[in-house]
Order: sequence, then C-alpha cells, then structure tokens
Amino acid sequence: MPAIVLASLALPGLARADADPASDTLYVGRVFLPLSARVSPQLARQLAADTLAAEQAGRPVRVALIASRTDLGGVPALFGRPTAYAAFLAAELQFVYPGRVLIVMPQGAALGERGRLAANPDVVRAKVEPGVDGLARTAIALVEKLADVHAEPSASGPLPSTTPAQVHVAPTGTTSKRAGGLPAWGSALIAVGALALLLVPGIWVARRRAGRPTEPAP
Amino acid sequence: MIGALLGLVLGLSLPPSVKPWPIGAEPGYRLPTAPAAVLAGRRAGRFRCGSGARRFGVHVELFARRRVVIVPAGIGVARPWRTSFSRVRPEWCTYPLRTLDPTGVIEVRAGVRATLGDFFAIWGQPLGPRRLAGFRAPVVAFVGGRLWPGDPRRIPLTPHAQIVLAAGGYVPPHPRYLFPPGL
Repeated sequence: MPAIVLASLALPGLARADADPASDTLYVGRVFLPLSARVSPQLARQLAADTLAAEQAGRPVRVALIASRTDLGGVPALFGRPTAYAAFLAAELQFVYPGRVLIVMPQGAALGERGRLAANPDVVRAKVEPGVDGLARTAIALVEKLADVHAEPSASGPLPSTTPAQVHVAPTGTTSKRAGGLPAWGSALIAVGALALLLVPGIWVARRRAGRPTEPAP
Repeated sequence: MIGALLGLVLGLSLPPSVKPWPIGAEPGYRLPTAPAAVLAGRRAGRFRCGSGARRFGVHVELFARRRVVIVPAGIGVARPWRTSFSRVRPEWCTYPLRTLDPTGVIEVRAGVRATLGDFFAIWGQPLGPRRLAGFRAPVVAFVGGRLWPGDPRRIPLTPHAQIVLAAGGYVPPHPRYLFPPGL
C-alpha cells in the first residue's frame, strides 16, 4: 500500500487508465457508435447487420466510429490518430476479444487485432466520407470487404509509405512484437541508427583534432 | 541529449501520457447489473425508483490486479428495459444513480447528494478500503487525478467528477474525462 501511494505521488501528471468508451462497449458489443453525434438509424442497423454477418461467417470485425474528441472520453489525445487508437483499443480488448477491431475517424481508418495494429491495404487506403454518416458508410464498406474472404486481392499498387504498421502501442503485460507492425527490435534499431548518426560526425571531428600535429615549442 | 533523442525516436508512435490497460477476462471482471430488489424497482436504502429529472455525469474507472473491471450498463435500472448498441433504454423506473451504457459514466439525478458507496449499494457490489467487488486487496482511490486519502465509499458524486479505484496494483489515473452531450 505505501508503495502504491508513493508511486501515485511520484507520477501525478500521467494519464493512463482505461477511459475510452469504445473499449467498454466493444468487449461484448460489435459496434460502438459516436456519443457526440447521431448516426442515422438506417446506417446503424446496416452496420450492425454487417458485423453480425461477419461474425456468423467466422470472420468477426468489431467497429468503433469516433466522430470527435468526446468519443474518446479520457484519452482525447488520440483523436485524429486512427492507427494509434486502433493499437490502443486492440491492446485493451486483447484478453476478451482478440479479433479484428476497425476504427474509423474523420482522419482515416485503421485495424487492430490480437492486441496490436494490423496492416490491411483496404483499410489503409480507405477514404473516409465526411460527416458522422460518412463514418458509418466508410465502416460498412470496409466491414463488407474485410468479411469477404473470396474477394479479389487488391491490385491498386503498393501500400503508401506511411502504413499503420509504423505506429506502435506496447500493451501491458504482452510481448511487443506485432503482426504486420514494427517490432520492438525495429524501434531499437532505429534508435541505434539515430545515435550513430549523431555520434559518428563527433568522433570524426575529435579524431581529426587529435591527429593534427602540435606546433613545435619555440 | 542522447536520452532525449532516444525518447524522441522511441516515442514517435504515441503521446507519452497514453497507455492501454487490458480488460480482465475472468468472471470476476464481468459483474451483474443489480440485485433482484433493484431490478424489481423496490426501495434500495434511501433511494426510490422513479422517472424524469435532469442528470449530471460522473465517470468511474475500476481496476483489479491492473486489469479493467467493466461497470455494466443497467445499474440502477428496473426491468423491463431494451438494449440498443450496448445502451440500455429503460422502459420503467430508474434510481437516482444509474448507468445506461458500459462506459463507466454514472448518471446522477440533479439535486441528489450521493457517494460512491451509494452507487455500489444500488449495484449490489461490496466496496471498502480493502474490497472492490469480488476482489480483496487494498483499494487506492483517485478523484480528479489526486489521491483520495479516506474510505472510497465516502467519495462524493459531484458533477463531472473523475474517479479511479484500483485494487491490487497501481494504475496511473486520468485527471479528467470528456462527457457526452447532455451530461
């Protein structure tokens, strides 16, 4: 107990607990609709029906539509960062639902799975339609693609250079290697590379200075 | 400088203040909504089942052994009710403290003075300095991100309070929560 109290006093500025409404809803539900704006009932029903069909077909997808910062409750910093939030949400749900979870925000869409971010070409390339109903329409289209195992593979070229795989959230108590994402050793490699870039010129200058002949004493 | 560079490189992915905590999978983390008396709309302590009136929101987050305990939808709601997208739609009376969705938002009837202990009483779950629902461990409480030094049952439910309870492990608390419109 004293250790816990001490820790709480030492880390007053961190904000980490669970507070996003979507995770609380999606641990049993298939769809999280925005709290800040109303999706038209027809689209909501369509999305519910599609996610149910996907589940019944053995290819479940759960969906979170995030229309504003309010829909993220205690983690509003993740608004506008669909890939970061997809990884975050997948990490929260990993022990109760390890399947796919689709995030659609005005800024883009992303997919999480098994506590990690998952790269999917259709999701990465998705253009989100405007408005809260646009979020729903985008999600419906993506769920229908994700649930259809017989669909033709996408042939519209390579993934953009900034794929969701570049964003990583290390879930608590899990390994940090992710399917389709940047593993922990990759981050370490980047760090070492950056350090080398920083240190090599310094070493080179130092060696040149050390190798310069000293002036003879008069 | 090296530390700063490392931090920059490794922290590109997320704001440093955001970290996910998994939802607990065992049965103790999924709790029923209410005892039979509340479901039947009978008096619960000093609270009666009623209808109408304005409400304000309080957000509560529960953790046990550093896993999320879900606060279910339907606490303080008498049967019958309907559900739509995990949200409960009451069809009869509700208590001054209730939850309509599983997000941890307690809807408190305006003008009612209540504590977290009252909420747990309506829920039918035990709460104390060493007890959180079915978990027996020291309970640490935070209100607005600050340590609550006393009995967690005495925490007042004030408009837009952000409450975190953690049993059996420390979880850094959120200081605030963005409430949905109308609360």
